[in-house]
Amino acid sequence: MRKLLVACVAAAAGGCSRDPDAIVVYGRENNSGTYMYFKEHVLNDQDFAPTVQSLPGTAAVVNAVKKDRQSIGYGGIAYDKGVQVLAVRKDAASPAVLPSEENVIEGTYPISRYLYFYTIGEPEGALRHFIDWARGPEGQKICSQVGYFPLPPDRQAKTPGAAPPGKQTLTIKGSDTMVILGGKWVEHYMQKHPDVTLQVTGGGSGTGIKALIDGETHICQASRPMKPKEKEQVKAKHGKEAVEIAVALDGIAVFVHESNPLREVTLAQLKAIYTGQGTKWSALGGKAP
Amino acid sequence: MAERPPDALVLAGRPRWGERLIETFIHASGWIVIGSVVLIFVFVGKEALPLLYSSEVHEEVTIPSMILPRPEGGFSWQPVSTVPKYSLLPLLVGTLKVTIVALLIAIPVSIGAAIFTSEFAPQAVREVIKPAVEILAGIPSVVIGFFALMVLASWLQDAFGFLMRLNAVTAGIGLALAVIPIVYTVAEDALSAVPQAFRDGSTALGANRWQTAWRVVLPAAFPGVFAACVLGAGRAIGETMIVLMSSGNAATMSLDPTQSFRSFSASIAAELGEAPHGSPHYHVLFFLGAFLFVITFCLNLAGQKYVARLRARLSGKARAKPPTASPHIATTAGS
Repeated sequence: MRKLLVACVAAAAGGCSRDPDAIVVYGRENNSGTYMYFKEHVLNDQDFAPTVQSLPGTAAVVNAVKKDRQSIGYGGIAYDKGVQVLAVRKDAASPAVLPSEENVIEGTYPISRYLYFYTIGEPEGALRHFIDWARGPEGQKICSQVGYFPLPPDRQAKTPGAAPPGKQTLTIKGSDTMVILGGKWVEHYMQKHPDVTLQVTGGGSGTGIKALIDGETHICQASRPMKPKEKEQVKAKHGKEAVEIAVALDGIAVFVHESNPLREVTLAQLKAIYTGQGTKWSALGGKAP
Repeated sequence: MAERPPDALVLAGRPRWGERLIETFIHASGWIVIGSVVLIFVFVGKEALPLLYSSEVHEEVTIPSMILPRPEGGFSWQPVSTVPKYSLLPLLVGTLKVTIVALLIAIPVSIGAAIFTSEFAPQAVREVIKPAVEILAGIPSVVIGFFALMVLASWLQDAFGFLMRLNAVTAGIGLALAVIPIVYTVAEDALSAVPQAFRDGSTALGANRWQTAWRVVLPAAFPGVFAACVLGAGRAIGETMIVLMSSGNAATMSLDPTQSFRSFSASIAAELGEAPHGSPHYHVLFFLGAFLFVITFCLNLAGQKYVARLRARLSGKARAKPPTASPHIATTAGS
């Protein structure tokens, strides 16, 4: 018992002598599309270090970074309240770019992504009507209200006319990142076109894609592109291609504590931090926060 | 239960069919409980089994690959990866780390509180403590988890200067809040069940209240108190929400309680939603579930065996009726 007590006190003392230059790294749980995107585009598909603390939801990451002076985190752009958002350089020679609406739409911000709808075969009838509406000016205005970015003008659709006649029920399933966006779209759309009933559920991009393959949903929302293997499965099961429709833009912001003097970071530095190369704050060109 | 007849006369006057109905209902309830335990075990086992025979699963993961070091060295839990890695050891280390911290805090506190309420506290104080502990037991674990995540983590970091806000100390204290009511309630029952004659005898021999409590009552109630601890350990290992929210979920191998960790239960909760039905990842998560089930089952079984032996020995020496809360409480509540 006494030995344990000594061990506990020693551990507490060990905590006291923490390294002020160390980086505390937060990320997302491995069920999220954001996790996958970051892994593929920033880590070049290497594994996250085991010391990366994973939290459920971008809001949780923002909250943790807000309370932790030595921490860094990433997440959807819609959540960046109370933290310092970093400008990102593609490489040391490129300019540092902040995830502003302009930069994300132009594609100069290096970690931005399209959010997608997937359907089995070219959408028709009410399905087509809803998707075009979402990609049109009215739907795209809602993107901005929810905290995402509208598509570049050349990828938007024109507002469609009247919905095809007859009552219809359509289902949408997939990405948790997109649940709020999808919900808002459906709410506004159904006010205008009461004959069409739409239901939105989350579960994650992978869950939505799985449901599409099994023919359990009309639209799959995904915050990552479908893998070739998944597209093959759709083709094999339904005899039609999976059709990919970009519906909104999202930037992944990198943030640190408000007191942190750091203002920018390169993709290579992010990769080193998240794969556990033992990077310290001083190595990022700043001083310890 | 409230309708129990006050005496035999009333009973005789009752129609038999009502009695039979109640009897059938009680029988059915018993079988439903047994049935659901069996069904849960069958379901979890069925989803975990493909890990043993399915060649499709074996392309990605086998039991030895989950236990032995990875070919590239070390142990790693990276289920979503180009080469998925499913080492159990980091999760086992995390689970044991937090369980030990939680029990180190919960057991002294709850047994101390139990001794205080059964041996020392005046009636008025007792009437405050017992409902207070019951309220603690009634707090949903998600609320405790939220408290640990938002408040406790900041306090502890300010006080001790932990590098990581979310670590085994934070989660362990949160978990202790969930374990204390269980250990306290069972231990208190065990202590209260010690016959008054034991205390009277001890006092008559000149022992003071403290000596009586420590040397007579506590040893006499030991099997029940021990059962309480086993029950608490079972809860600590299986608890999910508190750990999911306040552990940081980093699958490290570090034994340092001030480091973040990832537990079995939190991994299942975090990953099952996205693991496609029937994929290797899905079966591995069910295997974790079955593994947890077996651990708690063995813990209860071993606890029960030990308590039975202890009780036999104690009663043989003391030649008195064994005064304890019966250990079968542990098995029913634990499963």
